[in-house]
Amino acid sequence: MSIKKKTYVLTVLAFLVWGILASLLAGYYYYSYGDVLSKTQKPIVTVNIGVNYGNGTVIWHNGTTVMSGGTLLNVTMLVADVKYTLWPGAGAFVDSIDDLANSGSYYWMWWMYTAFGWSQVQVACDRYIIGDNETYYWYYEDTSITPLPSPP
Amino acid sequence: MDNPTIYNDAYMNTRRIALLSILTALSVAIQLAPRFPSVESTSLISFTVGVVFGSWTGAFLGALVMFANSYLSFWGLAGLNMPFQMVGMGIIGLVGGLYGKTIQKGEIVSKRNIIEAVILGAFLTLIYDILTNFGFAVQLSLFTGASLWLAFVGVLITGAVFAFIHVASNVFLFMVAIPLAKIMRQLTR
Repeated sequence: MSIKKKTYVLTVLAFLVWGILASLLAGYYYYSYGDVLSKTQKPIVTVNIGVNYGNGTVIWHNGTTVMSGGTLLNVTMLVADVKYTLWPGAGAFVDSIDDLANSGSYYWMWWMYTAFGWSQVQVACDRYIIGDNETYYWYYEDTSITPLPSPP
Repeated sequence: MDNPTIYNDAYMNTRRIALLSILTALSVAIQLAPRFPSVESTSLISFTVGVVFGSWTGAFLGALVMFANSYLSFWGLAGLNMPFQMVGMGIIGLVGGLYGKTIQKGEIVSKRNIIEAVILGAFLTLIYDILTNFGFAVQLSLFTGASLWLAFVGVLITGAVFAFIHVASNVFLFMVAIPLAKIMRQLTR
């Protein structure tokens, strides 16, 4: 490949990377803005939280009311004793709930009920802004199983 | 040698095998260590190995590291995303080899080559992210019943910040790809 052709190809690639990344980031901020806006329309929100301790015990905290704009971590701390570690860039990683700590392949995972059933949200609980009438589920489960078992 | 095989001096010698083994182990170890999300060095090592040892060696190293990573990662099992990760990292090694062929002998470390490697690194990282996001969307679509297209767009948008961090960090890491290739070449001569 001649130097001229190589320069041309690499310039096109550089612009392609810039264009795609800029579009994705614009899409992300557009989506995030709309999401936060819709979740903060009401001053108070009501959510349901289930905690499954992995031994057959499931405790539901239905109708928990909190100020809008709060995160799942905030609301979980209202109903349970939560210990967590803050990871730079990634957010809060829950180490234990009600003194039941992550151990071996068992970790606290969080799920949300959606139109498609239970969905695992790929974001840290302190990064997720809660919405009115949403249902969350903390599940102490074996993460070595693929696909991860959804709440029963 | 009259009858060259992959074990003879034309392709592999003891030093090369030793270096490749160390690099593979190092890549797996870095992948498994707790680290900042989306910052990794496997793509840099696969690309550089591709430049020095050829496309197939680079692709094999990248795919092998992602295979091990998919079972042992700190972030959990890769599951159905594993083949997408392997292909993505394989492509990085493969392109590294193709790029290595375009470098003139003796001019391996020039400012021009470093800039070229950085641009290629950014592009290949983005391709890797798009591929693995597609893999995640396939998984999401299968288990939730959502349309694949919708899941893919959703995953791409929600993962945009991670893609940005990945590309930006690799822009910096790939600055050392060419000097590193020169060192590897000298070590295995």
